[in-house]
Amino acid sequence: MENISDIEIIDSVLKGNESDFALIIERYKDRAFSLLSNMLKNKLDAEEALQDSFVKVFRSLNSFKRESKFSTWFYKIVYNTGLTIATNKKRNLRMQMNSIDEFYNLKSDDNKIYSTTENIEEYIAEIVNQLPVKNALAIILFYMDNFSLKEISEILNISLVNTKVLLHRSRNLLRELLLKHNYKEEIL
Amino acid sequence: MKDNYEELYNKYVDGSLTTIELEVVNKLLNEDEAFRAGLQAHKLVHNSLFKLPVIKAPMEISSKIMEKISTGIPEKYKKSYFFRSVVITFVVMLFFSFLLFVFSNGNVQSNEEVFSVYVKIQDFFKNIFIKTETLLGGNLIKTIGGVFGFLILLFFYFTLDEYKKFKKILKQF
Repeated sequence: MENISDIEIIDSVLKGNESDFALIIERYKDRAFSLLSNMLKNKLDAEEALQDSFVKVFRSLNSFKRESKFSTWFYKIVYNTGLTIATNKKRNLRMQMNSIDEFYNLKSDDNKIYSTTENIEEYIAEIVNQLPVKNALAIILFYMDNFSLKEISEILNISLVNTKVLLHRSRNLLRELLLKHNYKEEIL
Repeated sequence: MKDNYEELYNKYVDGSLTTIELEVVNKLLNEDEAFRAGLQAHKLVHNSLFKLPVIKAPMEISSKIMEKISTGIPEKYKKSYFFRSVVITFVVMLFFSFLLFVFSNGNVQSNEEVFSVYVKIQDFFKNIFIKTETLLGGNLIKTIGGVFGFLILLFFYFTLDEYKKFKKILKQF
């Protein structure tokens, strides 16, 4: 099943084999759920957003123009659905915080996170979860979903330069935090 | 200096250093301990980020979504044909009013020899218009016109809605 491309599955669904859409769900559900969980910070909201996203994708398959990859188009819908749910639930997404420099909370939370995590991967995952939403999403889309900077800029609807800045600043912050802690010894 | 280092760190992990920048990095690695530590930490961050855990979606999510899809369109995604019906009805009634106006207008100048068909049609509509007006009176004809418009509106609404359902049934085959 993994050999079948997204486009082949979509074509099959559009021909009337609606049950084939389950393949698309299986393929993307976990990664989309990771993205939405990070975005909404609430499992129930993330699940609702995930269901809505897939239903929207199914209903809009006809309008998928195939100019970009299906995954880019799909994540664009997931991101926008997440934003809608967040707005409806009046969740504070820290969306206004365009700069990671304004992310003052992390400094006080960092020591707590550091003391409760067992290894570097766990620590970094926790810190990513605390980052401003757009920074975290840029990281997730780049590292977890292997999107290019251009594709990420399309999904998040921001410029390519801004996407690059988001990613670089996030990495810089994480590096500074690692150097601040005992990981410095480990590295050296 | 810090900004320059950060740019080099990011370019290094992205593999986008130019030849000159690579030479600078190699030089700094040998001479600057802070740069070396920073680059190693940056590489560690980069490699760890590839191992970010994927959060599993709830077990029954696939069946829930497929159920939503197969049981029809959720109300919030349903396209309303009401507005479309109103517009179509308006256009249809405008068309009929125009016809009625043209063919019942006694002031239209026409050459009977050339436009005999036109005159016959005009006479036909004029007769209908005058007879109906005489029979039913001014207000009654307006009421009937309103009811007629409303019926056209309903007709278009249900026709479009049925067409949509019909298309869905066709798709299943």
